[in-house]
Amino acid sequence: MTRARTEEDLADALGRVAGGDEAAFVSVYEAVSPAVLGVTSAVLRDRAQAEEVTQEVFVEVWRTAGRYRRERGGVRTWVLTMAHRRAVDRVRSAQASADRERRAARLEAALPEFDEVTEAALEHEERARVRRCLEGLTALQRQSVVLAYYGGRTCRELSETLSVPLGTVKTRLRDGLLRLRDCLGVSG
Amino acid sequence: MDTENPHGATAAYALDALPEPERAAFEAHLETCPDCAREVREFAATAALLGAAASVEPPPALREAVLRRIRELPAGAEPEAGTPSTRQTGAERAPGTEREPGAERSPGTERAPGVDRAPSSERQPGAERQLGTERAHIGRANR
Repeated sequence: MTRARTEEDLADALGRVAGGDEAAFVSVYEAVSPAVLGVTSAVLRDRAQAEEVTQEVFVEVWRTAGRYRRERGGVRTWVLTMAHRRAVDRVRSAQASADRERRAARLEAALPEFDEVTEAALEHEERARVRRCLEGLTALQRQSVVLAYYGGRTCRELSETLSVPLGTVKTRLRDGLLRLRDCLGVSG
Repeated sequence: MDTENPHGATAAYALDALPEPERAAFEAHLETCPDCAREVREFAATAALLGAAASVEPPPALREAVLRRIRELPAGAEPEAGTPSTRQTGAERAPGTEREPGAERSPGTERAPGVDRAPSSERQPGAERQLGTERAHIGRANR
């Protein structure tokens, strides 16, 4: 099953994608698309839009595979960073056209959403490690990281939602990610 | 923006929690701060694990739709600003070359224009403006 590919295999496959190898592209798609759709679904909270963004991401992978450099990180990270950025940019451009009241309502809904997101996102056994590491954060670190990543919130929105100063939000995000990084064994 | 400590925004940046123009400002800072760049790479990898934890099975129709779209495009066809013919398939991955700022800016690399430092003669301003956001993102993603 292509899903079980190692990072090295994926990087090799992406190298072949740069040369137009469709089978290699399919193997990258199979390995990474569930995470891409998961991220875009969490941020956009709309399945149709999430699928649309997922398509855009993989078209971008096809077109720009030659720019990937394995020394700078894994293929999954490369693709998921792309996916998350596209999803939040779409949310924010939609948000820019919304009126302030609707935006305020969305912010008030943020905290209850936090629980939903974590429940929905982390239900399977293979996700236990991420869940355990998230549980190792302080409540404010966890809320900040989860709302930023899965919820696509900006620092300013987090500051309003969590009623803490902007600088504190940035510090909480960093402290939280440092702790997660170490817990998950991510190395540079 | 956290003007008193520009290094403090690594996590916010990696989580896409910095709106413009703070995002662009922090990207400019990253060009001059190797420690921040390394931390952003680690945080991006950490965030990707959060993403993987949210995985959902895509419907088969989605794969078919993606394949239909890529069949209309040559792989690696994204035109590089000013250097459409210099796309390469392996040379730029030679170990040890990618962290050299000079190498990144040499003509014909696939570096994102928005990420490169300002004086870069091979760019075409129009194409750059159009693709800047996307490119900056890609370049940063792989940082």
